[in-house]
Amino acid sequence: MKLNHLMIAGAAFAVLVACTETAPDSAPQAAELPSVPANLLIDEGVNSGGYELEETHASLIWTVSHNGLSKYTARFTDFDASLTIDPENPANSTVLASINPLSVETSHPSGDDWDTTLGNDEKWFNATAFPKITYTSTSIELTGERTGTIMGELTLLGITKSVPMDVTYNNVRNFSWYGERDVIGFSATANLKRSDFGMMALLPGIGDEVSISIEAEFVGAEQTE
Amino acid sequence: MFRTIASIAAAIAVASCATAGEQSFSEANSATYELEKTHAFITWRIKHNGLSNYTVRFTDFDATIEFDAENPVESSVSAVINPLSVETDHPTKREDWNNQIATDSKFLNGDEFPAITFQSTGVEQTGEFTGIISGNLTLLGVSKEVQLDATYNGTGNAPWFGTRDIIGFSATATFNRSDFGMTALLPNIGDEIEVIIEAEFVEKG
Repeated sequence: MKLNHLMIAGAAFAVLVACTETAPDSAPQAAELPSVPANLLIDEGVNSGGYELEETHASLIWTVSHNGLSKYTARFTDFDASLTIDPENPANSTVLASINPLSVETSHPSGDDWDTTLGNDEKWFNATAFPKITYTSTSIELTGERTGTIMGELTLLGITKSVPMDVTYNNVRNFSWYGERDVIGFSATANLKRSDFGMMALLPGIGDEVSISIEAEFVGAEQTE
Repeated sequence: MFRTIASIAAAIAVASCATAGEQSFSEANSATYELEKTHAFITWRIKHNGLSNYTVRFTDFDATIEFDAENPVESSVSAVINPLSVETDHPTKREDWNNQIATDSKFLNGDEFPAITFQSTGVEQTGEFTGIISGNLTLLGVSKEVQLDATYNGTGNAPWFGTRDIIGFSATATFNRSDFGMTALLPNIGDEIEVIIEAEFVEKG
């Protein structure tokens, strides 16, 4: 049972994980989309309100082409995110995420030096000058029963650009250790061009397009009533 | 000065980019190829409570390809993974959790079974540069046939490897862990394991 608890304890949704405390002002407009019933992205009955990343079940992987020979695969291991969920009108939900660029991990066989270089070098994530990568949703468009496209602003290397994210809502569960707090899970993907953010080093051998794959569970914020 | 050194290091480490890869079999030498470990990744995923795909990697593995450029289906591959190198990136107790997944008898049981191995038995070409690699996966001491959907991404060269060719592949595989006797926490922790491989190989010198 101990293992069971260790393994399961901790659930969360995946977006580029944000730790901002305040929700964005921008009111998502996708509520008016006529063709897809608004209550389908997220199950009815899911508690509305704030959700926090369940960090033990959240991953953020990115790949970039290496000379066309392989997809170099790395991840960030330190990130946070929060959601506001509107189950009546999922398109009004929001997500905020924040990534620590120094947490990049490449599994380089010789150790951590390469991760440190990627995190710090001004040609790469330049974390001394830009210690956070952030994502703030601006709207959500429902695209299917459990899918949607989040429009949001990604800030990387101090440059902010709109980056869409394709999201699948996986499910809601409840666990005794979270009481009434719902746990909801998402999978998401996004693509961006690093050159849009001024990261030009080693183009084109190291590809411009970065593919991001996110898996994340979120747990309802503790009620403060 | 540090910046300069770091930049040079970055250029060296990321840039095997002397020549862009060319997706052609005939451009590659038929030879034994060894894993180029700085550009090789094994990621695997497993469903967690139906809520997310728990995503983990191995960081210590090796592989060898006997590559037949004239008749690619005659090629073969063998690989070995150190289960103790499982990396979960747990945010608060990474070492403990990695160690538990790696060594617990309910999971990878790496002390008793210190190697996960794959030995190909046949290759079926499915497209110009795609194929299904069939082989025996040995996990927890149990050997079962597993198929890899593989794509040959091409060949290239880098000055530090001289005339030795580099070849690159992407591959995916799915199998059920219960086939290998790993039944802990089913079904909340899913049975199906999805494996995603990206790997470059360099011609043996």
